[in-house]
Amino acid sequence: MTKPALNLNSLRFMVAEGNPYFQSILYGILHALGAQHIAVSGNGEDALARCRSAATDLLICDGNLPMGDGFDVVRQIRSDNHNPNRHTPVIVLTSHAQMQTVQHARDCGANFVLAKPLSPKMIYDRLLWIAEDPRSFVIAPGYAGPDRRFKDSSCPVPQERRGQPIAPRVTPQATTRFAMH
Amino acid sequence: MSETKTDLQLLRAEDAQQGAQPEVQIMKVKSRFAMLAKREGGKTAAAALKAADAFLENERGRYQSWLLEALRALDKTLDDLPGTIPEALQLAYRQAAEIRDLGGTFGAPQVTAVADSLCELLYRLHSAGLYNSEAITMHLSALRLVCTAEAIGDDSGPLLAGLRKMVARYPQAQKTEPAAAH
Repeated sequence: MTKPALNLNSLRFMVAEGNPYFQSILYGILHALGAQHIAVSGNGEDALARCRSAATDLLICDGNLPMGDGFDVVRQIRSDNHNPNRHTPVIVLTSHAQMQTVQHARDCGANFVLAKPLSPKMIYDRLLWIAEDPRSFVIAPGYAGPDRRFKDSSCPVPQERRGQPIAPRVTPQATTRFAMH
Repeated sequence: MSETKTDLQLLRAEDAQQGAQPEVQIMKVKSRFAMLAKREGGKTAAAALKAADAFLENERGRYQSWLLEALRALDKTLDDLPGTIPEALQLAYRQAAEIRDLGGTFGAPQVTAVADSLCELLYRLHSAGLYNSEAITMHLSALRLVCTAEAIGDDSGPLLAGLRKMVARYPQAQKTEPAAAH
């Protein structure tokens, strides 16, 4: 089935990633996919400050950021009523896609978790998901973010990674309880 | 139509009577991303993915330079081990994970597999409070081999099997993300 087109021209992206080379690769992939407005940040403090001062349309944030853990950055954005990005979709990147990390990301208010290594197709698929994410936004004691009671059997499981897949680190439970690839 | 109210509705009604803010708010929020990304005029998926693959292909030379530099940094971290073992293992783990992750993005399966084995080794050593220079050196040598030799074809199977056997000597740690080492 042909994938729908995405129009990323006028959307504002923020990439928070501690490794400068990986940051440039992510920037390049997003740009190639059609994004024109991409801000980058190399640490948690800076990412949070930027998110407090300007609205963005999608935050892609590594979970393991220097100077302010990425999960905590997302939690602070979600819990701040005055943050212009409180409802902004967030994709958390991680090198450690164990159940515990996925739960951590889910509970900090991320919309999706994306396990490295990344491929353009994985990123594109997740952008499509963000564009079609039907979940409500929940504010409750101890949690603010997309509804965590989320189960969708049509969640696309990536069929392809560039290169050989590394040993699977995702439990089946993780893929059904929370979109996590 | 049923007049049965959900627990949440009852809670909200109670809160409203008491003039309190409801404890749980559920909102339908359509993000700007969702509103704008599906407009006409964007690249087709095929064109977008083709452009992204072309970007990575053009980036391959820079990736090779980065990889050699990352290997040097990993060597240095592990050379500096005595005296600061836990910290160095954490930093080495992070460096090996970066090599593994970018290897996957650039379609280098052997680099990804060997770096993944090194990550597992470092993780198990760190969790058990152990250190084994022989196992680490073997992994580094294998990583250097697959990084510089482009590909060693199907011959990588026994190499990987040997590395994994070496890793299996150490107890499997409970999986938690190692603390950030910056």
